[in-house]
Amino acid sequence: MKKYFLSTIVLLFILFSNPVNAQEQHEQENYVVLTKKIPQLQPIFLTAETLAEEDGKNFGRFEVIICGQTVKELTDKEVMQKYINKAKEYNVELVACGFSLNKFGVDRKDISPEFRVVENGILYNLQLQKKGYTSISL
Amino acid sequence: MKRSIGILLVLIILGISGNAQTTPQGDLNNYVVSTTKIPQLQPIILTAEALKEEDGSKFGDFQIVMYGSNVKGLTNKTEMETYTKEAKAAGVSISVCKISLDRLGINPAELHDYIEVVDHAYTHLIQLQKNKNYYSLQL
Repeated sequence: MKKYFLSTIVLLFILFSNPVNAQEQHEQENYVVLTKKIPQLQPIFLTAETLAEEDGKNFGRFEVIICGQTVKELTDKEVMQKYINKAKEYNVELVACGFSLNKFGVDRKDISPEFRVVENGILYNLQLQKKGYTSISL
Repeated sequence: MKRSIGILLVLIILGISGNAQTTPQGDLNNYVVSTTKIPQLQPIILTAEALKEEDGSKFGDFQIVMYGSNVKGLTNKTEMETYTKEAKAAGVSISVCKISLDRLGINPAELHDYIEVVDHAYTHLIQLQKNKNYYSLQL
């Protein structure tokens, strides 16, 4: 009888404590940076590199949202290709704000498909924060 | 035997309280967005509307904090009305940094009625993040 109770206790303990532990161990670190200046991508890549090293296998996603007037520069394919290569190297995802593209008259066909376009960059940032992303805006 | 039951009860209680902590029960999602440009109010208010719909009953507070030299425009009551009307409908508050007003020599009474004043924009932002768990974004 006592054994039965003890095993119940052990079972309950495992049931209650394990999911919490498991979450802590496998939780990925995700990051989002919102920037209004494309040249900022350079230091952002360095940040991603450092964090990837620091986080090891817990390094999750690193997304950069490009907002504001600077989106006009996205059409300069030659310059952008350099950033795109670096982004791939450091596993950084490039995102462009659709509102900004509309406001500054940038045709989506004129920018590289490597830039994922979201409708509203501000909303997208806050949605990622809700998912637990660590965020900074530059 | 009695002791086992006691331990069992304690563990169940511990388990339940541990669980309650991990689920964000009753916690509302609060947001603060700061900006230096008045036209930015438009996409920010749209963002608030989208989050309000997404969060449903979990939608808490949504604040916009303005600072910098462009806050002069907040005294233009007819222009501001288009923004404040939308902000009010979306449940968004708009406040302005007192230091910016002082620097530009703007009397708070000149501001559109809907605009509130905070002592210091950066301090306000940090305090919201620190004490009330706001999601924050600086534009």
